Amino acid sequence: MIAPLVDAGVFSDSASLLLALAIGVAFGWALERAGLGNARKLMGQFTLTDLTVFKVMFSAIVTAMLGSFWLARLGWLDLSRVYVPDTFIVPQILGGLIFGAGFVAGGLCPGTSCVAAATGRLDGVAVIAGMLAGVTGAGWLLPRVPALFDATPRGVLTLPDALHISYGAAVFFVVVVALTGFRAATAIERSRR
Amino acid sequence: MTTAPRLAVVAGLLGGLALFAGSPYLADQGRVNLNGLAADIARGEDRIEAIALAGWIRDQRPNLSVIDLRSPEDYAAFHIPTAVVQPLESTLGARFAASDTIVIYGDGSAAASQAWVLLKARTRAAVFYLRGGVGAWLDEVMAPTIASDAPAAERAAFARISELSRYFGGAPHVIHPGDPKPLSRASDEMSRAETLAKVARMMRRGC
Repeated sequence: MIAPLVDAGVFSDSASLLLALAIGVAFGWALERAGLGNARKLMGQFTLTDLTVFKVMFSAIVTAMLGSFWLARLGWLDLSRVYVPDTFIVPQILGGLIFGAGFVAGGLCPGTSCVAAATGRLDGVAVIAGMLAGVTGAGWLLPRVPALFDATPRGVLTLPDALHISYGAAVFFVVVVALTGFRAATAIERSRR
Repeated sequence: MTTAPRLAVVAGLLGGLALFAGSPYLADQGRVNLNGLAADIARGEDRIEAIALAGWIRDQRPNLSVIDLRSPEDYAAFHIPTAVVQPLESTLGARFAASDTIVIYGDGSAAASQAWVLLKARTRAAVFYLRGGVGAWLDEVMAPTIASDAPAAERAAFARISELSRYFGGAPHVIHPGDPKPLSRASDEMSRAETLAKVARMMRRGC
């Protein structure tokens, strides 16, 4: 049997949603355990005094990447069926800047704001409210400005295709960047204390 | 050694081995995910409608390849804009990237849908066949019709289709009560002869 298991009929749609909920709760638990439900800890990212966010997120990226690569290489996962959203360079840069401004202003990102709200922090509730307002506003606005919404489309773009390297080389490249980044982050934290 | 350095060593090893592991895509390994193909068919994600394809071509969807699986003679008589003629054997041997989108078409749907299965087994790209083939393109893009008393929602959709049709040189028209009935529409089982007859009618009308 080859994953995604939902294709093989192992899970019904409702069971998939329940599984997604369980994974989401586990993700939230991991974020809280890493201390990322606290906006003060997240702000350490921008003052270079606490780079936990970088380490946690890059650890998750490397784990998921190595897991999906090797599961696929062993024939247990059909990588071509893993959804990759299309790339639109200009609107995604614009969205990234707005996201970053909200992150700095609120001290929380979407995932960590949910964790903060679940543990009773009011700033988490405020960030979730702002996020939902932003999502609603963008959903209303973007279809009215298709010139921006559909600008600079690049289709499904992955690192191996964009860099014209093999998938394995891209995996190796990201692992090297992550390990180098972890070492640099630890050195920066030590120098700032 | 604490946990973090150990995990770093494991990640480094798995990353280094990935350099020599080859492609992770099943198609490159000569394997087929039958459940995946069945799920695509059940969800209708194996095919594309002519209007949707017209939108992709007009909007210059990145990495889109439209492949005409018919004979070079039929291709010369009429083909979908941007399409290239390429027999199935050559298409199966071509190398596509995971980011590519391939649309294949024939006279109707039968041959193209069979080709879809073969192509999906050989490539990691997104593959679709044009439902109804060339006949559907001629009917739905080059000569879309609507009844004059159609509901407002249908008329709004027809306005968008008409804009797309005119982009490709088509002739959308409204059918009023008493007008002669339109010619038969394209079907999945359309034959080569029926397609060529449709092409000839369109050429006579001018496009």
